[in-house]
Amino acid sequence: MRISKYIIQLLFLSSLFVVILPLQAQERKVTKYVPGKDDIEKKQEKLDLGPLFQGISAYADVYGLVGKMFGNNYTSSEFGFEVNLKNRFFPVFEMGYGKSNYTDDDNNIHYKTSSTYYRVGMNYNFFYKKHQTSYVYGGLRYAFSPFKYDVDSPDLIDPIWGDKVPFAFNNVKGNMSWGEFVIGLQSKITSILHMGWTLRYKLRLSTTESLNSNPWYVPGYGNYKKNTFGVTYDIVIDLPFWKSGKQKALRAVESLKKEVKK
Amino acid sequence: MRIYHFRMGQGRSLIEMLLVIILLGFLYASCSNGNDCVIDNVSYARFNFYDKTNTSIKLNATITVTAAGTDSVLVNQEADAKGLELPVSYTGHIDTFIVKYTDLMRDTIFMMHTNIPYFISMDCGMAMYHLVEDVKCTHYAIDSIKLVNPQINFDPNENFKIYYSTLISK
Repeated sequence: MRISKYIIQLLFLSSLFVVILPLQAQERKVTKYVPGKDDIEKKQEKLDLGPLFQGISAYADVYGLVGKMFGNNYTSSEFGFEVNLKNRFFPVFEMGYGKSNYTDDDNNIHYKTSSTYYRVGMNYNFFYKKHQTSYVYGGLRYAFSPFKYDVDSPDLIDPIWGDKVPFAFNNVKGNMSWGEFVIGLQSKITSILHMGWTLRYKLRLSTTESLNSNPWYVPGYGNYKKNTFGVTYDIVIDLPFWKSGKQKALRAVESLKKEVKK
Repeated sequence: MRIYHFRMGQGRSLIEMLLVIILLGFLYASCSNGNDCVIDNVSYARFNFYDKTNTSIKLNATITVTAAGTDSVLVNQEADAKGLELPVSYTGHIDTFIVKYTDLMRDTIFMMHTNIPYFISMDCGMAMYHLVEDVKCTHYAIDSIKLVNPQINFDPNENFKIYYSTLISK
């Protein structure tokens, strides 16, 4: 009986070897798998695009503050935030403050306004694969400004009946929305500091006109026309929680390269 | 590598083309954004003459138009007139225009309106627009008068239709 018991145990153990040994061999195949160039290229492609979220930048326009030196009858100051998605798409939010207090020398008309304005939109980096220090981008914006203005002038004189009509309207309410097509260039100055300019073509979308006047200057838009141009010169700072995703991807590619060398 | 260079070159040229197209669009848009101002900044009430069948006519008379309350002659002995462009008072509520066809025949037009002082722009200045509330007239030569567009501004739209009898229409 004892001998038969030993024989049964031996058979059971040997059957286990039959099942487990091939499994171990398969596991070894997996662990010994060496990544090839294709894997690195795939990883490299992923790196080119990078992770979805690649940081947030804040920027401020300095051109609006010195625009009077270039012939503008108004000043404006604005700042914004842009989110870097795959170094390709940059959703932006911009907010600014524009003001004008101008009297025309020829006809003595005086116009005064000051108000905030808002923009939302998106930039598109044309060279998103290159991760260059400078890049060109295009973008779209939807902008909106609620504002009030004062306008006054010398009396209107009736050319036939000769009567005089005073002209002064204060706190006239206006709302205006417009779209912007943006072309911009941004260059890296230091690891977190960039500078760049944008050229903006602005197209009036909707406006509420007063019974007695058109607005003359609209904060954020400029002179009240169907379309107009704008320029900004931006100083851009990458906010501190930038780079995390990108550096992870870089480390992954480096470790893959080391494995290939081995 | 060749394919890579080819793609890069193609991509770059596409972007350059895109930038040129956008810049040309900008230039076109800026050129078509003219600043058109009216020379004298006066808005006129526009009357056109019709016969009873609503056909545009020329008057078979030389007309002179004056306004009550002023010595100014608004239209001076105009022949073959198809219509009138008359200034509107800046402060009055009822303007009275006297249309003289002959020494013995004249009509009077009464136009009730409100006045709207308007700031156009820094370049074009101020103007007075008007909103017509009602119009009436005498009926010596005029058969009837109809208000077509109550807004008197710089738009060259017809404001009134004056229907004449065949007596003085060509």
